[in-house]
Amino acid sequence: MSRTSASASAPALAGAILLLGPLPARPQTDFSAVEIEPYHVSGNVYMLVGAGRNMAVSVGDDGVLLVDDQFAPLTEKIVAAIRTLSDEPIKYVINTHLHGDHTGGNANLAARGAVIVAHENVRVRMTAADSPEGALPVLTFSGPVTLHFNGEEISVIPAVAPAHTDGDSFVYFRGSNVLHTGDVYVTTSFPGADTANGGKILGHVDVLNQILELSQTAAGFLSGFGNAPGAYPERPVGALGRAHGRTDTLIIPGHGRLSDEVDVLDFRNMLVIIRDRVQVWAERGMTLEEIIAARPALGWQARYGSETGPRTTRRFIEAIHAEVTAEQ
Amino acid sequence: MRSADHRSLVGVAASLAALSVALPARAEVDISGFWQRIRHEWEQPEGGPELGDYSLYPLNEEALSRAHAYDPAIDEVQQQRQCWPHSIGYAMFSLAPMQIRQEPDRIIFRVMANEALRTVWMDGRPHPPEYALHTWYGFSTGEWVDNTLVVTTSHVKEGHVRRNGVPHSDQIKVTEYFTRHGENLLTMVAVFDDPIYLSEPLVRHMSFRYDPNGVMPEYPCEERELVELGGAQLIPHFLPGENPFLEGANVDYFRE
Repeated sequence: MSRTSASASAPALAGAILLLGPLPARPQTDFSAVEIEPYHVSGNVYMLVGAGRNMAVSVGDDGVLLVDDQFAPLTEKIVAAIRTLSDEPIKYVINTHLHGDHTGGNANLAARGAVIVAHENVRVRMTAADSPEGALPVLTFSGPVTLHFNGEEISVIPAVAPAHTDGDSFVYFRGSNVLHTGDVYVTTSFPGADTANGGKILGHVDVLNQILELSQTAAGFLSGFGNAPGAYPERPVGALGRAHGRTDTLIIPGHGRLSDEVDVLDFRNMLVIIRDRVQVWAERGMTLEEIIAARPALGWQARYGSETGPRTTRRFIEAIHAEVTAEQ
Repeated sequence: MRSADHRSLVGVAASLAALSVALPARAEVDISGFWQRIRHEWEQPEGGPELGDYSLYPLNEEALSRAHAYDPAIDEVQQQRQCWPHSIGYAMFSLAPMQIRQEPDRIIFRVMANEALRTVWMDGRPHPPEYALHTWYGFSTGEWVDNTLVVTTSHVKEGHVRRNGVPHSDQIKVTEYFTRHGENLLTMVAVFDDPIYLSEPLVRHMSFRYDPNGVMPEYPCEERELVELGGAQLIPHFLPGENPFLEGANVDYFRE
């Protein structure tokens, strides 16, 4: 996994998602209008929804564990939402990646006593971007790590490949059977790779497969982390389990609605089909502009595409084209 | 011409709803029991429709792109798909019988596909927030308007409205009108609104015959051996313009 960080810059910490070329200006978020809503997912775990991003929170006798903390100006609202669930202290904050819309509250919550936990590349890149010391993760990892908290195992699992960034992680609440994916899986747009922070658009295929493997292995999850296909031959299959009344893993995306294995599978298939179109057309000699004009994302553009903002359909296709032609 | 047909069907449904609204609500009608589907002229042949047969479906170019790309092999090579239920976009229109149970706060539909149960809440509860989980049958609420059960469904997972790759999105909204006519006939009109894949509302209908002696057939579904075709990196599909099964099919009928 790449640890190159020299090109990391402050905009990355403002939630920038660099695909290719300079970012267009992001509209300012009016934080005063944002409401943070708790939504019970399963067991100890709630989803905190607000400002278009999703946090996860575990509440119980051991205290509060938070996954991602959005923007700094929202900390008081986030804490107020948590206080509707628990009066216990916020002991851990886990960052799924380095972007500022997921780490912006680090300094505020660290000042309240929370331990900030993240992939080592998150600290490397935040440090390179001159983030304040108080915002940096103080507990980092490069492999799977498990917290025993609120009566269940909470596993923080690095992505198997660079995708959204090179420091992506998932948080799996084993007892509650809930997985927070960070931004490698979203329901609001095409996947986005922050190439300035080591992201790779096609790495999402491997990482979405990892999520699928995790969700399939969830009920039989013991000591492994499910990255190797076929590693758990006796595993129950999620969608089949749902059809027959068994419990499936519920998946909290970085942005968008609560999901399950089937939603992730559809998202993965979409990416693979669009990748195939771009790759075959490039191999046949079509230029990037010819490929874009042929609309390889047609079929999903109305659902995930955008003509404005940081995640446009064009940038998505450009990112795929850059990677498939680099491989040729 | 076909579009006009759809508009007229929407008009019928709207008129039904308007008429119902104009009348005072009555006590609920007993629609419980076992219902056999009555075959219609529009039904797909046994074994499913041909690839490229999308007649009577008001699809936009996004939906056509998905349907043209559909390769049935995807159901063979992806283990996860083998026992998936049909979504609400199709389940109520399969050839399978249906069983209905009425309780004070809900009506439960049992459709044969995977023996899944579909709950329609009758207690006035609101639909969940948009960020809630979407499921195969979605979240349904119902109310009696005159003698018609009007069911509103949201939060549906992406699925299909026809078994040849015609998709519906997870943003589909479905309104169904169930009306019992005498002892033996139950009719259903469903209006599908999908801003992603439909160019106008899709209206479908189905009729059922009461069968007091009906028995729900079993729906065995066993995991089959996963066919290895390169693992999860390979998703069967046809490239645009290269689906050999579409030759001669009337695939551009609704193209905008």
